[in-house]
This record gives sequence, structure tokens and C-alpha cells, in this order.
Amino acid sequence: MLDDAAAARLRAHYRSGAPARAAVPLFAVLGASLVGLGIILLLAHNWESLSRAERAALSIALLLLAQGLAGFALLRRTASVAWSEGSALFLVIASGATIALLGQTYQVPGNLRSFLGQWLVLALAVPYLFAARGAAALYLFGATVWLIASLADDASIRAWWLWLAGVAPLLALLSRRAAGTRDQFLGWVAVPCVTAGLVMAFRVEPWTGLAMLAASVQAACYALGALTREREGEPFFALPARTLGGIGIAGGAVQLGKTFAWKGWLSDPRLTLHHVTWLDTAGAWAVGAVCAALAAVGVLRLAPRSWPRALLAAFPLAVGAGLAALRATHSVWIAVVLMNAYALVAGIGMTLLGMRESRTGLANAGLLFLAWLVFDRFTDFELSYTLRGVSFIALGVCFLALNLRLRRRRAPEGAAA
Amino acid sequence: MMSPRWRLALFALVCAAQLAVAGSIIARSERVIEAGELLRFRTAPVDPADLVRGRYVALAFRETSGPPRDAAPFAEGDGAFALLEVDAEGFAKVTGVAHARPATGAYLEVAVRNATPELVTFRFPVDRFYMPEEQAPAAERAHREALSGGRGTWAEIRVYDGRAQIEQLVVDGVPVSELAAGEAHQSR
Repeated sequence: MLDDAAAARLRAHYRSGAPARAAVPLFAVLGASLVGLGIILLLAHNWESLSRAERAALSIALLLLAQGLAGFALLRRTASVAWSEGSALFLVIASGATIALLGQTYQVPGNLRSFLGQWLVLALAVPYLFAARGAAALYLFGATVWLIASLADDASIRAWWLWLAGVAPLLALLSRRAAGTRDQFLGWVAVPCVTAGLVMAFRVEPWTGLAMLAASVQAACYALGALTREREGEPFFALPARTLGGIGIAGGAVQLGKTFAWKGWLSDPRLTLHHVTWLDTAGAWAVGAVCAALAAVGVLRLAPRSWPRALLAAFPLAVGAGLAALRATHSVWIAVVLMNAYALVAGIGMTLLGMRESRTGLANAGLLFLAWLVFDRFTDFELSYTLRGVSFIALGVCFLALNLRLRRRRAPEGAAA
Repeated sequence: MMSPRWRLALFALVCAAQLAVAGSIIARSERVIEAGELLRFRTAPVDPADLVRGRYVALAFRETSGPPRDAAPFAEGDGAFALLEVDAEGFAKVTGVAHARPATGAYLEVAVRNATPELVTFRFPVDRFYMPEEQAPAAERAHREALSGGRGTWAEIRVYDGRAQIEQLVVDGVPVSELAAGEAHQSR
């Protein structure tokens, strides 16, 4: 328990120091990015007036400069977060820029995929050396672009699992700590890169299998975020896994509430995948099974305290039920009704629970989910403008009334405190 | 996390690896420039821009297949060697595709795209010619127009030990960089 004086000191401390401390590494990351990109642009601008040897020397000099700064940070500024973050990010950018500049200078054959592959290998250790979230975020972004480039080239994507495995221990280590601003930033980059990457990297037939795996990934992400990081009153930006997992589930449910996807799966369930062996398929199902297990744990642990959240974590079950209905009846309608009902119940449940517990964020998230569902269904049907207008007004009134009510309810609590 | 000593050792290793990769690009490329045989390859068209590496003229080549030289079958993605000879007009042509690296003669290290018992098609290892940003569009235009007009276009590529490095793109006997520089100068 804290006495009033201690509480006041803590408040003053966080009010004055914390934002500034959080801002320093962020600006260091921004500064390093700008310096790195600026140097590359300057070099590129004057590139053609230089001889081949001069270009090669400048490319190596850029790398040496970045290594020198990183070495200085490692030896002399170990305690400085700004130095660690800034120099690590600069080193990652410079190593990529050096390879690209040399590749261009010597007309080295290759494409974006081969360039990124080389760069990821050279960049991997840097986030570990400096515990640098910015460098780790750039690495993960690069791995995702590599995956997209590989799919576009119709080339093998197996190495993506290696890129992911390379950074996974660092992500696991950081996720066990209390999350600061830097960790949140990394979370906002890592969660979409990893979840989208997993869905793109799954090599399974048919489409319906891929849909189940994608639902499991989103639900696992949501459950992990809700179970490991959620604390009372934590804002949405402090919980990237839960927030983005929830958005993924909501988006998935809204899209599957249309007949379009199910009809496609019914008429042509096969994907045309290349470079797929039994190992790819088995690996995808193994990862999918782990995600489904995480989602199941989420359902069981969230159910006693928040049934709407447990319902969100149960998204793979809803998709599975829809697929089972599709298979049994060869009609899309049961699946479509089921997904719309799922989205409706989850949205209403979140809104009501948020109102009952005076949690504005949860209540508004529920309403947003409902609004998304309503707007999207409107695009499916030819409805009159009057009906659309009235519905939008009704939804807007709901938003306003809900927030006013929650604010009024909080006002007496604040006054009493 | 790591002890400071291990961390420094790993940092030294990372720096060495980064410099080694950069150094090997320079060393290997200089070797091709110095010792490679200069061959002319007839081109075919394409376009775009790559945000990471700057502007270039995208290229395709006519010589992208040849008869298999081995009884063992070829599969998609296999590494192989395209054997080269110079024809009567002075252009490189593929005389066959082999599994094993040839002991003599010019050849390219390639990846098989698809294969039948009669013909092996492969990805040509060069697919772009980097140019200054302001010249690349004009060069691309000149190259495309020459191709559609049936005029002679080719790339001069140095080949050494299976590696290929483009030196120049030529349209009607004139290096495309000269054509593009002239056009860029006129537009100013």
C-alpha cells in the first residue's frame, strides 16, 4: 500500500520523466533511419560521376562507419538505450545498403528476393547484440517482404521459417519482460509481420484448410495478447497482439459473413501451389495445431471472466462449424448465417460487458465491430439510401449515448475519489 | 543475455561476416571483369523499377534453352550448366545443358525452369542492366523500340567460371547508355 505522499511522488515521477525517457530511443531510431537513408540518397545522387573503384570504396566506407558507431555503442555506451537502438538500426540499414550499392555497381545478377536473403543473414545477430527493438522490427519487416517477393517469383519460401526461427528467441525473451514503449513498438510491427507471414507461408490444400489455419493464427494471437499482457485499464496501443488479433478475427468474421468466400470454396476448393512437399504441409498443420491449442487455452481461461473475449478466441471453432455445415449440406447459407450470428453476438457481448464494467475501450470496440458488420452487409444488398442513412444515424447515436453514459458513470467515481 | 566478452566476440564475427560478403562481391566481380570472356547475347523485352536497387532496364534473352547433354533427367529448380558457343554472326548460343560443370569452354551456371527429354529451359542469370535514374527510362524506350522494329539489340556479358556480368546493352551497334545520355541531354 502507498501513502498519499508516495503516490504523489510516483505520479510526479511518471508525469515528468517517463515520456521523455521513452521518446529518446524512439527519436534515436528515427534519427538513425534518417541519417542512413540520407547518406544512401546522397551517394545515389552523385553515384554516376564516380568511378567503379570509388563507388566500391564508398560502399565499404558506409559499412565501416556503421560498424564503428555500433562498436562505440557496444564498448562505451552500453547503458544508453538511444545509442544502442540508433547504432543497431544504422548498422542493419548500412549492411543492406552496402550490398545493394555493390550489386548495382558491379551489375551483380539477382533480384529482390536474393538481396533480402543475403541482408537478413547479415542483420540477424544485430538485434541480439544490442537488444535493439528497432533493428528487430526492421529485420521482421524485411523477412515479410522476402516472403512476398518469393511468392511473387513463385520461388521456394521455406527459408522464411528460418528467418522467423532466427528472431523467435529474442521475441520470446522480450515478451517475458514488462512491456515498455520500445517493446510496444516492436509488438506493433512483429504481430502483423508474423501473423500475416504465417498465413502466407502455410502450404496446404484446399482453401478450407488454409482458412482454418488462418483463423487459428488470429485466435492464438488474440488469446496470447489477452492472457499474457492484459492488465486492468491498459490502453489498446499497449496490447498489440490482443488488438491486432481482435481486428483480424473481426475482419475474418465479417468477410465470412458473405456468401462469396463460401461459394468459392464449394465450387473450386483447390489452390494451385508449387514447391509443396509433405514436409511443408505437415509443418503448416503442426504450427496450426499449436495455434489452435493456444486459442483453446485462451477460451478456457477467458471464459470465467469475460465470455465475449472467450468467444473471440473461439473463432476457429466458429469457422470449423461453418465448414462442417458447408460439407454436410453443400449449401453456403448455414455457414453464412452462423458467421453473421457469431459476429453479432461477439459485438453485442463486448459492448454490453464494457458498459456493465464501465470499460469504455471494450464497449467502443464492441460497437466498432458491430458497425463494421453493418456497413459491410450494406455493401452486399441493394438497400435504399433512406434505410442506410437511418441505420448510420442509429449507430452514431449508440456510440454517443454509450460514451456519454460511461462518462457520467465515471464522473461521480472521480468526484468521490 | 550475453556476457560482455561473448557479445564483443559475436559483434566482431558479425562485422567480419558483413565485410566478407561485401568483399566477396567486389572480388568475384573484379575477377569476372578481368578474366571473363566477353560474349554477345541477343535480347528480348520487359520493364519495371526496383525500390531497393534503383533504376534499371529489365532484360530477357533469346538463349534460354538447349538440348540436355546428360541422360539423367532435369527437374524444375535444379542447378545446371548452359554450354555456350559463338555462332557465325558473332552471338552466343546455347549448345546444350549439362548437370556437371564443364572442364573447358564458356558456360553459364543456371537454374532449370522446366525440362522435357528434348529441351531444358532455364532462367537466364542476368535480368537487368542498371543505369542512372534519369537515363533508364530513355534507355528502356530505345531498347523496346529497337526490339519491336526488328533492329539488332544485344547485351555484352562477361562470362567467367559460370558467372555472368553484363557490361553493356547495345541497340543498333550503339551502347544504350550513349543513346540515353543523348536523349536526356536533349530534353534538358
